Amino acid sequence: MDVEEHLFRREAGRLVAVLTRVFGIQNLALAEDVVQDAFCRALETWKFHGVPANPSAWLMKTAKNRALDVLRRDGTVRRFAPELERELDSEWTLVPAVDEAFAAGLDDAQLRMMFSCIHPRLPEETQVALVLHLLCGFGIDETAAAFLKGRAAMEKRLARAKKTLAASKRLF
Amino acid sequence: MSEFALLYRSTQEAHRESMGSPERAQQSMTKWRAWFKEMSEKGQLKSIGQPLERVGSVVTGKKKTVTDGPYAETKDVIGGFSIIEARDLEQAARIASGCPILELGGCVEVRPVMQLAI
Repeated sequence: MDVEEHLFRREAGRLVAVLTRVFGIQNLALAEDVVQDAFCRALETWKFHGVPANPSAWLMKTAKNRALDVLRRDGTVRRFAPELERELDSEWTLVPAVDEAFAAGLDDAQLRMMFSCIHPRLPEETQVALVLHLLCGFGIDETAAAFLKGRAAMEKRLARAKKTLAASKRLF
Repeated sequence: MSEFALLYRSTQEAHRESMGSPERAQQSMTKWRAWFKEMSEKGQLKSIGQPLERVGSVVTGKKKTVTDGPYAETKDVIGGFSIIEARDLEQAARIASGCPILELGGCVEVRPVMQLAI
């Protein structure tokens, strides 16, 4: 079975939204890292074993396992989503809380992420660029092309916008 | 026909770079799948092989010291292997030259499999 067109583009946005919900908006970079980890694992295993029957579920599960590793490892040194704080703190509730966050409607996570991206302190064009990049799975090159800008300029702008986003108190 | 092992080597950075954006991830995956398919259709692929985790342990010396491995992250790591069939090393290397890892900052090591038959 071949990999469906735009699979990674679609899943990138969904995964980053749900991971941000668990990790908290201040850990946006970590969420992006975990997504990339999941993509790397997908490349390694799918190229040999073939694409699984439900690639979206596979990516989601891989990202979830990786998120649990991170939460266990960094739980004492890093702060995660304020609304899940209590659940993420204990091994008793950690797994169910993350399960629930992953199951609790991707649409909701994506919508909240979108509202967070249209941060009032960001210029409108940057808001749109951020939505394309984080939620629609546009890479930096593609986002730059969409605004007829150079890669370096767009990279800088997105990095700054992500900093603004990460500094906001919580996800919308 | 002889058998050859292809060892896919890349650094952690090159590997992450190859999945650096959803578009690139899509391209990398498509290229790898297409390459294996092509070899398989030409009857060159004896065994697709297995992917390998990029971390593990190294056991060394008479004292059998166990350390985290494979090696420092700067070095390239074997991320998987396949077994192909080819007339000779030259043809095996030609087949390996189609490997997508070459466009993604990695390399392929081609090694003849030793046979008992002489």
